[in-house]
Amino acid sequence: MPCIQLQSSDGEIFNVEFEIAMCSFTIKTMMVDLDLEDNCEEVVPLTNVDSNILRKILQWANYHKDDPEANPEDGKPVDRRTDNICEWDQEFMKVDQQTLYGLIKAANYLDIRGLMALTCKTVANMMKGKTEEQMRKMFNIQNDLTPEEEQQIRQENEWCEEVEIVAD
Amino acid sequence: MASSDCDDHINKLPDGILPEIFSYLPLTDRKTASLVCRLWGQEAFSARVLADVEFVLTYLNQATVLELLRNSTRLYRNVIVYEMFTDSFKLVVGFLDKFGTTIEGFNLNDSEAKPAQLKAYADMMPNLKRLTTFMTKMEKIPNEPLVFPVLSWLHEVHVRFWTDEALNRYQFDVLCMAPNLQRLHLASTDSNGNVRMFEVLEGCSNQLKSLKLCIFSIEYPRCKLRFDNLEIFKLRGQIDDVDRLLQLFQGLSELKVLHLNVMIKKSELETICNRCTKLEIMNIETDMLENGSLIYLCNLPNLQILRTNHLRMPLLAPYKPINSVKELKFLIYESYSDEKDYVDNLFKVFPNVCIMKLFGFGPGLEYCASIESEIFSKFIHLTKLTIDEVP
Repeated sequence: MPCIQLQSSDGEIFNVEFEIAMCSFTIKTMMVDLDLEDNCEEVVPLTNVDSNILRKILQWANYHKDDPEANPEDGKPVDRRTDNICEWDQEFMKVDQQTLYGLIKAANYLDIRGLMALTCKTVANMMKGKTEEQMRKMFNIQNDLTPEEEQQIRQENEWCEEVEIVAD
Repeated sequence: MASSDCDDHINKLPDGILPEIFSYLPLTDRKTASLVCRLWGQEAFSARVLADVEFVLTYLNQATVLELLRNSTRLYRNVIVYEMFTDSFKLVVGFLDKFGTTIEGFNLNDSEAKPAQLKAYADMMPNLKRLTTFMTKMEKIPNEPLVFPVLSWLHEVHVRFWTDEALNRYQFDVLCMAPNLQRLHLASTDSNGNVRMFEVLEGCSNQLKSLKLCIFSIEYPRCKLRFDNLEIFKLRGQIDDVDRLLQLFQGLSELKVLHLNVMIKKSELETICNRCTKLEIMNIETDMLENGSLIYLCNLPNLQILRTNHLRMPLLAPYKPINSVKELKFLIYESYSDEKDYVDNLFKVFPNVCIMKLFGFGPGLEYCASIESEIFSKFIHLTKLTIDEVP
């Protein structure tokens, strides 16, 4: 199995199966741009991802390597459900907020769509059903809205409804 | 140091991530999130998250709404207009004055629009994609056509009207406005003819992917209409002979979804099943299916979902299996003879059903309950069975 070498921001080098590394569109593009496709000796530096996060991501990518590739241009609406996370992923997502944000940033930088969806769904699930005060507590946020701003948002929210999508 | 200064804080995530997260929240939670802090107030209703949110414009909020919207930082993409009166034209224009260029969905719902007013609205929405309107006829059809803007993004149009003349192109030229129309819904309550409706269809039939028609009379045009790209067709109303309509409608070979809410004869169903061999979903909401009609559905290799009103015993005969159907939904209003017999016969016709939804009413509801266990033991592929009362 051909491998490539990925270097984390803190200098650790990971030997990664070519196929697994390709879940990242960023790496895929880099390989093509740098013409590395036939050259396994070269080390690909990932300056934005530390070794802890990279290790987790490779673990996730390895588990999902056989998943069908989602094509965002096939015209189907993006799946917005958050109650359909598989058990392995749920277990994988049991991390502290620091790691969670690290994974989001890395998934965003590496352009790994499946992981991006999983991490964002996980954060959305942490928000669901909570009051604004509970949300602030959960994410350690200070309310910096002025009473006028809050009033504007409250009133405007009252007139917003979900668009009804009539299914075919 | 404030908490949000830490690098591992949610509000320090790169641009575009918060809206991505909020896009997974239902609107109620997004509304709550918008009150958490200033950043969330913006991101929970940022441009991309607003795709499935509509602003509700009603006469009732006229006084406060324009003031409220003046200070709004949201770029609304959809608006629904309720309970309008003649003098509320200004309110809609006031709204569109600020949000018109971002509006993609404009729904006039039950508010009747005069052609000149609709034209004024359309002029303010260059990026419109979906339009729903209720059209009236001008007192006097003008001698010169009313010039609607050409909206190249507009691909979905729903029009309801009392009188066929509402579609007279001199007062409402829907085809000029929407040259790239793909989904059309025309609902007429006029029982005196559909000349204008067919004129519109003549001009766009072959580009349509989806067509819904509600008609109460047919005045057949001379020409034939081609539907080579139509995937979804829904027909409802009172039509005496669907057969003539089918002669008029050429093509239909790409049809995947068909809803019929009209009386349909056995021979008509046969024609449909012979011509529309790619059908995947069929909804036949008529009480009077002739016995033996179902046999034609065996010709549809892709038919996966079938919904119908009644499946009485005689209708199931001669019990030829429709192997493709995986999902079956039907009504039971009465109790049919022997439970075991009924389920046996139902299974003969639909041997591969995985999902079954029964809607019962009165004695039918009790009957549903009495055949539940029988269905479970008979239908070997069944994974889900639901029984509900007819709404």
